[in-house]
Amino acid sequence: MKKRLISSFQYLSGIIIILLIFATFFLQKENPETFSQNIFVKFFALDHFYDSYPNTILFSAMILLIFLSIIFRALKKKTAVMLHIIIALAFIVIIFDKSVNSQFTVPIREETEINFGEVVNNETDKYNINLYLEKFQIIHHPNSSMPKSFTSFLILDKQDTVKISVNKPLKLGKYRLYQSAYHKIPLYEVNIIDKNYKLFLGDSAIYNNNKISIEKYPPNPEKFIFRLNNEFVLLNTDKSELNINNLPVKVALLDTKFVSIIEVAEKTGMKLLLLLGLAYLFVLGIVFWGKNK
Amino acid sequence: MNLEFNLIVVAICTLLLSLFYSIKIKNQNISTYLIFMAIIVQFLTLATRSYLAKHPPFTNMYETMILLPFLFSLRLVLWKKQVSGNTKYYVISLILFLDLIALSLPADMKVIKPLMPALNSLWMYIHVPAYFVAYSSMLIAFILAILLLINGQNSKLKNLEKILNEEVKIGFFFLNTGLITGAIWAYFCWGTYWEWDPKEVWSLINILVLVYYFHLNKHSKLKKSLIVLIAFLTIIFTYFGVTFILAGLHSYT
Repeated sequence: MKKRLISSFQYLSGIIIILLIFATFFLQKENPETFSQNIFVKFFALDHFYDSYPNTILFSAMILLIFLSIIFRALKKKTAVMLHIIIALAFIVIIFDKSVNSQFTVPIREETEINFGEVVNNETDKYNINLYLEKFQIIHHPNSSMPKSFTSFLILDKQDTVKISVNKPLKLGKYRLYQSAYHKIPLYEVNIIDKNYKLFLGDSAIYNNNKISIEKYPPNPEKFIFRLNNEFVLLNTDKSELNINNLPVKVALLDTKFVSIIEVAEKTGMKLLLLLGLAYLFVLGIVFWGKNK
Repeated sequence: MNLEFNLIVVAICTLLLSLFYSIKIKNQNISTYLIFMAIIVQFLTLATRSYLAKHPPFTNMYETMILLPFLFSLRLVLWKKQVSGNTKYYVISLILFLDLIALSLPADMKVIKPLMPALNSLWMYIHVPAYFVAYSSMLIAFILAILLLINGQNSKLKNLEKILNEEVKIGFFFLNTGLITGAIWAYFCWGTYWEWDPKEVWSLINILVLVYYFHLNKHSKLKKSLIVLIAFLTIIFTYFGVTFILAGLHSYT
């Protein structure tokens, strides 16, 4: 039985290794419509292997093998049994985490606020918190364009100021908020005859039943356009005087604001996983160098 | 940069002299003293680099090319018994080879670049060194495995198998330490401990291949040596191949 279990393990890990190696050379896709139709790629789900059933099934089979080796006493030493139990438990927690927990990004523009409860779709009072991005700060390395750190200064419910920066997440109940990325967004002042509008890139407003907006220019997203219904005009970098359908329009760049991209992660079982990871290293050390080898 | 260059040249000369004393004059004591001197010079190179860069010397390819020779030289002195005889000569040759690579890397790879925000973490001081300890052990294991494959029937080399086993244990332990501390760091930095990034996947492959080693019969010396060779090749790909061929979250390494 022991030999069978070991050879099963060797075959299984061999398959896992080969599929993992192949998968790293395929661009991993999320949209099923773009999956490859090649029979080999399709069968092993190589272009979406990490989130595929073959991956989950193979690692689940590994857990099963570990438990079978414990049940059938293929592992004689207590430390080896302990090590394998820890590995199996860690795999179970990981599979549980990957299938249950969620993670997504939320953009917050400077001087605007979001309701955290709405973002995480959780209506309980505990998460009915307004997050106001007071400012976003980038500190650069001296004489370099490389950022040393970037930080979001948030005000929670108009009371407490908290910071989120890279490597220093914020904990809100069962969620953690991470500083993921940032970008800048321009704010334009639009003047049409006697009316003034302040529009951020992507915003729109109504002027005399006409929809006006500032948008990215599709062929070159670095450039922006002013759109009035279906008509559009390319904008200059700071100031433009336009004439659309005999309508005099002045568009001027007023300011730029940061948009902080916050990663929201719901992770349960992380403390257990951390504990299992450290326990694994400890027991591995005992298995290798302990007195009762 | 010039000071670093000169220090590496001094280290190379010292090691060449050590080889000369060991092979030609057969004076192992002087050879060891010279290796010890090379360690001091290599340490000074690393200290100079760290002082100028204001961060530890393991954030890019050039820095690792000056760190690895230091680690290997330390192994030569601290684990004198394990790395003796022919193994010692191979390791010194390898140190010289890495030093020469460090010298010949293009200037733009030697430029000091400040750390990106994600790397400003205490976890970097555990995660990265753990991998380098693992890599240095696996390299010695690779040399031992080749020696075992070539001289498999030689009874004098019986001790090699024991040393190989020890090196693989150290390598395996620190590969796991690197993976686990990397996962913890990633959790605090990106909100996820595992992103299926190519570097992560290949680090897992390194471990899975070595797991094979520990599940082999004690007496399958040939198979064990072959597994070490395969494991080392996967490590080489993880370090160089993934960095230059497969883009991912670890592209800066």
